Formats: sequence, structure tokens, C-alpha cells
Amino acid sequence: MREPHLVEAIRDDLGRHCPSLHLYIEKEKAEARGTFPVRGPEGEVADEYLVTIEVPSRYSEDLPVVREVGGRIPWTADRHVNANGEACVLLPDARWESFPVGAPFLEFLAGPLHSFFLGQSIFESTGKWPFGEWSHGRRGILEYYEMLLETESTEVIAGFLWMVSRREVKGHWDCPCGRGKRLRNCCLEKVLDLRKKIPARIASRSFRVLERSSAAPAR
Amino acid sequence: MFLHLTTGDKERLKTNLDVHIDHIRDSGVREAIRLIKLWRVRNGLKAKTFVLELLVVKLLQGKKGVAVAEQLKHLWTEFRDNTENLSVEDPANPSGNDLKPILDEMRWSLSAVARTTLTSLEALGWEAVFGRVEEDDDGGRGARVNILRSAVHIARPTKPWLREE
Repeated sequence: MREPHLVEAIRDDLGRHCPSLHLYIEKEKAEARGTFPVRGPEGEVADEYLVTIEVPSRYSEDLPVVREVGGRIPWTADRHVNANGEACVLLPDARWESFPVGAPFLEFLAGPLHSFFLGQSIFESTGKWPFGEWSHGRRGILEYYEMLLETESTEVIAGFLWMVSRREVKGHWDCPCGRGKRLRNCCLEKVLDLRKKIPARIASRSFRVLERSSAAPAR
Repeated sequence: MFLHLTTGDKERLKTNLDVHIDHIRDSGVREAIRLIKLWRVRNGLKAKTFVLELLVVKLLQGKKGVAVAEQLKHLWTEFRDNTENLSVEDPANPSGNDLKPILDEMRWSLSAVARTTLTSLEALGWEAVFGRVEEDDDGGRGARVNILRSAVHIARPTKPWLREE
């Protein structure tokens, strides 16, 4: 983290929303540590988790890395925690809906992070995820784009992702929807809209995950 | 015995664990020590237990008869307002061991967290500092129902995922 104003903004957000969570800067690494509150319907603290939240050097392009360190949540796939303890709080491709790039840190705390830990508390009690869950890995990415693009074709999804990952798009390219038209006469608006929502790096990574079974569309 | 050091000029401190144990046990402020250690964990502070305990014992000299709540407020006030002057000595080797480097590593974090704690305490009370007291007459059912009700009020919930390595 190189920007002092970002550090101060994060400290302010933590102070307001999670007063037992503190930002520590050690050897140029920024990490929030302490107790994260899960709030009840009246804003009261209904549950708590001991966490660390690493703020990456490319924040806010990259998502914070969250770990529950109180030993309450097993580091297993069914709890959406990797073997290294990293919690998969949300699907990066979906972040524009709740925590777009550039949004204040407070939106991460009050949005995806709160949903994640509230979900964990409810899963502990009921065995069910209150807001649903994406499947793991590649399947989860496909589920998301099947919903977003209203298609079940992996090839079409890969095509759209490829276009979102490019530095620029050309109107004369074949439209990724597969209807055989030029992009400018077909889904150009859709592609441009996606490019505003989903960072190219994220789209590129998801494309690489999918391309094991899809080819890049014709230019 | 020797304690290994990862910072400072010396690689190890020569000390005596029995002296430490007796010093803490006979301090008369073990409850405050326990609570400060809980506070440390809840706030993610990386403060060495050895030095933190000695600091608490030193700062609470003459305050053994005071209520624990007041002891804690005194400690946090000292951490917040007297940061630069905080110092401790190793009771087993007071002239031989310089604990200043260890204390220096945690000095400003102690101050910052104490500041926030005192503000939270004033605004929201002890539950904001140490968490909610469980009222378990109903076997925790009330807390579970409350958590379930919370989900209804989330305007834009997000779904967890798992990146496969």
C-alpha cells in the first residue's frame, strides 16, 4: 500500500464500523486484525469472528484477503475456505454488484464480508447458506455468467469473457453470442456494459479457467 | 534460562522463569492481566505476553484494591497518554536485560488500540470492548433466531465461492 490517504480512509472506516478491528502496517504490509462483528436486525452485535484482512498492494483493484483465525470455521471447501485459510468471500467477477473497484473499504466490510460471516453463522446453526452459494472453481464461474448472460453455452460465455479481457474491442469482430453477426450489429452494448463492470484482469483469469474446454472466438 | 529474541542486539535474554511466574502470581492483579490478554487477542495486537504482563503489573502498582474495571481504564489511559514513557524491567535480571526494544515494537499499537477502546467504552459500554454476554437461558435459541432474522434485512447479499488451486 503506497497511498497514505487510502490507509487513513481504511482506518476511518474500521473505526466507524468495526472498532475492534485495527489496521497495522508492518514492513510495508497492511493488515487489519481483530474482531469482526456480525450485526443483528437492529444493528446490535449478534456474533463475532477473529479475523485478519490483508490489504493487497494493488488495492482496490485486488480484493482484500480474509482469514478467520479464531479456529471457528474449518478451512474446508464446504465452508468456502481454502486450505491456506483464505476465505472466498465472493466471486471476483460479481464484485461490481456490491463492492466495485474504487468503492470505500466500508462497503467491503458492510457488504460482502458481513454477508460471508453472517452466512457462516447461519450455516453453523442450520447447515444451509442463507443467500445461496456459488459452486467451487470453474463451475461457479459458469453459474455466474450463465445467469448474467442468460445463456448455458460455455463457448458463448468464454467469448464474452475474451472480449472483456481485451485492451479494446473492434466493431467488425464476430459477436461472441454465436448468431453470426458483427459485434457492432449485435451485442456491442452488452460487451461494453460488461467491460465497465468487470475488470479486464478478472475476465482474463476467468477466461483462462474456462478455456480448457472452449476456444477463443474468431476475430 | 535463556529466552530467544528475534529483535534487538542480543540473540537471547538470560532470565528465570520461576521468578516471572512468582512475580505475576504475587502481583494481585491477575484478573486485569487476563482481561488485557483477552483485549490483546480481540484487537489483533501483536504484543509479547511476557512484556505485556510485566507492564500491567508495573502500571497497577498501588491499585490492587481498585475494581477491575477501573484498573483496565487506568491501563488504557496510560497506554494512550503515556506511551513514550512506558518501561518495564525483567524482575529476574533487571540490569542485564533491556526490554525496551520489545516494548518499542508494540508501544504505538498499544496506544492506538487503547485510544479506540476508551472511545468505544465511553460510547457503547463494556460489550463493545469484550463482546456480548451470552444469556443462555434458552440454550442459545434466542441468539440463533436473531441471527436468522438478520439475513432478511440484508439488501444486497453476496454468495461465497471457492477458487480451486
